[in-house]
Amino acid sequence: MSQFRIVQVGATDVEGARFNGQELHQKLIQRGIESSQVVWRKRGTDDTTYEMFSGALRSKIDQTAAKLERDLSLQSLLSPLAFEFAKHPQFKAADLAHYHLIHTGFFNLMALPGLTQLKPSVWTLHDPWAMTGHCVHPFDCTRWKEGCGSCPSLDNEFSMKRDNTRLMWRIKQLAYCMSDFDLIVCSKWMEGMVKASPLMKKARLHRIPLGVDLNAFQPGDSQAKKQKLGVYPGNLVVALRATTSIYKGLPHAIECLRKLDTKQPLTILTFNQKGLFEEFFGKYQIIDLGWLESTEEMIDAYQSADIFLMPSEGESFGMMAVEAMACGKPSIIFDGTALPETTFAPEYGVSVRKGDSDALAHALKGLLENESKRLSLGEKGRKLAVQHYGEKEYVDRVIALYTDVLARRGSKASAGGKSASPLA
Amino acid sequence: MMEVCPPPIIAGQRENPVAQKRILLLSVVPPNSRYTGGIMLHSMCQSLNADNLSCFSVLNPRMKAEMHPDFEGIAYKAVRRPREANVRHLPGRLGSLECFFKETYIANVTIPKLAQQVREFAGQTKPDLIFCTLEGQTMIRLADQIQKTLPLLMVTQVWDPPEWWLRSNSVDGWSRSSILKTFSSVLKNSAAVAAASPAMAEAYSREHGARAIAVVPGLPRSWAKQSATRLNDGNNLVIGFGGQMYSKDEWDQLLATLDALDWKVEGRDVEIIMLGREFELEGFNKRNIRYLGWRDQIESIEILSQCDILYCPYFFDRELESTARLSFPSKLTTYLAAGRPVLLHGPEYSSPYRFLKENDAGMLCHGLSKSAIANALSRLVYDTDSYARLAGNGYRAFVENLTDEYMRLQFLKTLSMASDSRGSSK
Repeated sequence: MSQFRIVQVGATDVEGARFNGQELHQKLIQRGIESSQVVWRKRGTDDTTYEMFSGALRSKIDQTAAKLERDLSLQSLLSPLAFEFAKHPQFKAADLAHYHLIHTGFFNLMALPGLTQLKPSVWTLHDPWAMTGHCVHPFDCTRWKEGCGSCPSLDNEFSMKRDNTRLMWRIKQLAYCMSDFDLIVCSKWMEGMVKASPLMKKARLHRIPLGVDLNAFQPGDSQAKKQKLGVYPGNLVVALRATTSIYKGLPHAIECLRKLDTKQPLTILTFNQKGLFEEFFGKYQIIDLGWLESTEEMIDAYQSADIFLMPSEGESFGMMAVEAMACGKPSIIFDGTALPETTFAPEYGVSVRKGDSDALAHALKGLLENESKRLSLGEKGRKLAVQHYGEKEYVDRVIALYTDVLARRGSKASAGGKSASPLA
Repeated sequence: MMEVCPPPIIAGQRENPVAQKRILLLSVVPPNSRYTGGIMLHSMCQSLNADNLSCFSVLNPRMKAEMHPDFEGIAYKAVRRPREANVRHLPGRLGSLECFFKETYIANVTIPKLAQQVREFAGQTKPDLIFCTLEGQTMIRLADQIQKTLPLLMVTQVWDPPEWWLRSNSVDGWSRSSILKTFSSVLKNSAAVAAASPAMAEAYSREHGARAIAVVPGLPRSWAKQSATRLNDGNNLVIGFGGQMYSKDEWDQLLATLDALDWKVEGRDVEIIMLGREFELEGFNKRNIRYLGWRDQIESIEILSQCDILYCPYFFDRELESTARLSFPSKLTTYLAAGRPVLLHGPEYSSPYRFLKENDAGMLCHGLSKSAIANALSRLVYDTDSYARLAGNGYRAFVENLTDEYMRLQFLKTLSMASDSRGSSK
């Protein structure tokens, strides 16, 4: 394989490693590809992960820019440090820069034109923020197709004090227009959004679903895992992510459990935030695992589950549903997001109408009371995960894209008299 | 009964050359059998030659701490400790200012006088080194003065991080910052530091450049009860609690959970037995709690060994994070010696949580919710394998890490390290 050098760019390394480029970075190194990661805040100890800038001055500038952005209702526009990234040794040494979550406050969109002109660039969109005036998910709003402005949901993440959504939309348009990047999205659902977005007309779009380690995420001894986590003997386990994020559907999960009419003893197994299901104390066993640091803990949770409940209202891919699939557990999801596509509903995913907690409770009851259906969906899920979400295939496809991008930019550079890329 | 590992062989402690050094104990309490610190000091000092010991105590006037009979003949002086708790008579910033002036006066007037008394005492007893417990702002400042004015090696001991003490005594921000700076300097200038836990030893070595060794409170191995293999017969579930009640929020949540469960866990009626002094007794009569008052440690272990579960709460409060991370509750040592499973109710980063997790020696409850507590209690009842395993591993963890023999060995290591530091500095 031709050798090239990649720099992965993200907000941080350890937390959200799948989405910040850390996992991909490690896989590339395992394949013998020179890769480094540059992050805004380094939390881990990996030697090949670097902080973009460090020191007290950085923090000061960072805080000031963030405060100004909040006060002026702007997003990712005022930090001057992103322009300095071009001087970072890892950026300079790389043949290609791969951007991941760059909307979490540290980046400056107006640095994108310069950076993408300097290096061949790939940008993975994990959500629609890049196409909206401020929000991460527009839900049913379609104003992002028309230039935003008069925003009906300014409070949604990332919230704005004043309605500057039209201005932000225009700035994004200008930044992308002057930039040169290839986009990766993980689902047809996101692909559809990008194609419908007036901002992304220039974008070269590639759909590459994320992959999971199918050897790690696989069906296991459910009873042993239940015992390990302290599930009461005889209980069925409904696992879900507990978070107050408006995208993840917490109110619907709670409403569904309120409406659920079952005599089956039940354990609600949650990860992420604790205490959100405490109202069910006495009715169901609640086990809050909190934020899970390791993959092993996640796998324990999936393997102990009988059903995975994922009533997200905004989901661009649905990595957790894929992990549940790989572990052979049926998932119940809402339509209107990427989840039905990701979970191949109705073949594997049990999809109900978005926002309908009655339907959710009905679907949950159906699966709780039908063991053979649970098991057969789980088996199908595992098969589909093996067919579509292998980590190796994901990394292969990303490397193939890097190769194409470098070849294309290399030939362009040669035509312009610049030094050719290593692949040219 | 569980099979246990053999005890560590620690012989000839008093023959150790370090044990023959003349040591001045500079502490908030003399070796005694009444207060946790005094008990620990007494236990550690048993590895030393009493003829070579002297003790200067800076005592809280409310404490009735008398010298333990084992050390009755040693040179001993006790002085009154200035009041460290700050009562603010003025509101807001004015109250802080009032506290600042009081602390400044103590630092500049009272402490130098105390330091002079220590120097005079040292002049009479001629120690080779000073062993100083750093509890509270008085001892931190005093240690600093002594380090600067007496050409003697000093070994310091930390039971709890000072942040907790300063907070609970309402010390103002300016004084707090100055005291913490002094604390760091004292640690750096100590020939060795006896830390309250492995986590503290690690953190102080890293953060303050201290030469630190963990010296965790220990108890005689012979006091330990063989580990229980199952709950007591009958229809009750007896939860034991002993020692100081510092984790009030966690305790309140336990009671709230039991109230919600109508004081029944897996069909058993729950009863709590409390040992110790100075509990707030309000509302106890409404609940199934028996208060047995203060008992000595042997009796405490005996009583706790007859309970089913031993409850050890530790701070979830983020403001007390450093204490949770670095301190080690002495009640845990007592509990593990009692041979019953410990229910540790504290955050995952806390030092007792990490200790019990590493040794698989306790039921770990890292949530404040009723569900989390109920799950842990229930599991200790229905999961009989876990009950026996945790009790057995708890006993093993005690024998391997928390006996007084082991503590004394660590203590002597600390003193040796101090002596080595003199050698290396020469």
